[in-house]
Amino acid sequence: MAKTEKLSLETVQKVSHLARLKLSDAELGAIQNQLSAVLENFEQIASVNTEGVRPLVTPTEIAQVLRPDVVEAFDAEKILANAPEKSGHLFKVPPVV
Amino acid sequence: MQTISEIRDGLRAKKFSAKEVTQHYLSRIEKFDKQINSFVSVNPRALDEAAQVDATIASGKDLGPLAGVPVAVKDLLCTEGLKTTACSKILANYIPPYDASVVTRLRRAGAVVLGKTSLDEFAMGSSNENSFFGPVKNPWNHDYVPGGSSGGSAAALAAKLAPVAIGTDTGGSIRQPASFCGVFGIKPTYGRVSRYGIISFASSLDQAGPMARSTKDCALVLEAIAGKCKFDSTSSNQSVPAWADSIKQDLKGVRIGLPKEYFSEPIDADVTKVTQDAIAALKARGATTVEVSLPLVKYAVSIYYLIATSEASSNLARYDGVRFGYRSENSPASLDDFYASNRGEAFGAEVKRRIMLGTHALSSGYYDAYYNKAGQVRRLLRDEFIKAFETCDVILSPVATTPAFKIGERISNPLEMYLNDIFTTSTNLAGLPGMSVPVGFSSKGLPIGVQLMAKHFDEQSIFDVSYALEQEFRAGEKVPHGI
Repeated sequence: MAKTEKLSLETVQKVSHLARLKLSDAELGAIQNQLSAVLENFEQIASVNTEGVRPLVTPTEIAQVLRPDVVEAFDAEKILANAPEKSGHLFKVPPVV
Repeated sequence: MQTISEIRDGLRAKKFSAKEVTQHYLSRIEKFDKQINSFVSVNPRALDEAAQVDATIASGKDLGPLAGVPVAVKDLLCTEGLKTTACSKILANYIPPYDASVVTRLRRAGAVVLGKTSLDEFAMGSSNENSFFGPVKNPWNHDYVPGGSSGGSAAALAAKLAPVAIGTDTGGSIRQPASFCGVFGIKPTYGRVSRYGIISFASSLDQAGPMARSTKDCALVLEAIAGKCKFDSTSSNQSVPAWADSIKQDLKGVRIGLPKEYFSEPIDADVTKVTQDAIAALKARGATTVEVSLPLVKYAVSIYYLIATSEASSNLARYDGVRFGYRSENSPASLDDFYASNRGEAFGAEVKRRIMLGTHALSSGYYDAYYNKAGQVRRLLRDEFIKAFETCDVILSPVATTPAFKIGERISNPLEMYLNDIFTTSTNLAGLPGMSVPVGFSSKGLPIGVQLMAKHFDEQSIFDVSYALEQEFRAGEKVPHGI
């Protein structure tokens, strides 16, 4: 695998949009440098032979658990208690249309 | 009133009341915590909870196994009605409407929630310098870090501000601070303890676990919190053994595995000496040692930071300022701008860095080389450990390459900070149980522990070896100056 080039500013900006993170120019620059260094170090995993190996997601064997698809009641007031802004039983957000 | 047994016996013999035990610790927090900043908040209902235990005692009803024991809970676990912040500006005023399962079980066992302890923001860090509420100081030397991310819990224990604590561990966050602060801490097998109500960092790696000043207290707390939980589908059906009462009194026949790759890392001389002292002590008590080989551990930090940050980028997507948490004062230009401002203004630098790394690792064009590849290496690494446990019962290694470092020393170099986690990340990746046991001190008087790992669900073997080290070194009995 080709050696990682330093992450381009364009890539970092794209990633910040995907992550919904507003970053200042200074932050973008710092992250560009730091992540380039980190990813360069991590390049080494490419040399591990993983032919035919399934990725491991859950490290211990667990059984699939199902439960009935039944709504359980919860106090609406409790759920709204941490809302930055609310209107009745609705979470209020700035106009977006 | 220092250990669970002492508290239990004292309450039954009416030497003191549960209220007095809780008051003792509340007073110590008030007196000493400004020096170390280990607590984010103290539970205003702690004395009431203790009073309820006294009422139960008075009525003659059965007491739970942790009745009257004050517990310091890492501020990553939801506590109903009590602020839970993850030490982030984004949750600085969040009050959960429910208890984490761990907290429910602690309460059911009769424990009292003393307060919430500090951590690196969203559990991301190895020094507790990333807390929105300021760094935690190591009680052994205030210029030094307590470790992270469960630095608050570890420091509170070391300073005797609580007899037991709960931490969480995703890549070493219970074990490393336990080592840096000279206390015991165990990350159980993945699936032992419910993750319901624990603010998620990396769902395939996170585990909550007990931290305490003795092996037995760790075992007793783990017995109380472990077990299948219907709210966490990754929790295991395995029954919970009576670990504390089954601790072996000698180590005849116990095989200690020493990974040759770990011991060829550059390690601080004091850490090497303490580790060798531990190995010698275990051999003197009847254990044998065997060299094991784990060639893939050299990739552990890389695959850990790819997997953990990828999972974190998904788990932290919920912090959008809509239903709870920080919302920007600025008028947004669009919905995306709304989200981006709320998150950009309120997440700390390390959190943002990790979200960015994880988002990149999952993005189109990079997913196969990073996240997927890391997952494949993870399976091979886990299988290497399973094979190693065919020839040994417990794997021993250092916890970190150095004792605690100075506040500010590593914070400006993220890669250097990540490489700290060289001995602990494999444990989470493989889902194995791992414990930090205090053994000795550095030439500067800072604690140094050793790490013990075992097969999946074999916490018993870890407790057996931990107990032997405890008998030998009694390191947990020492107390920092001025506390």
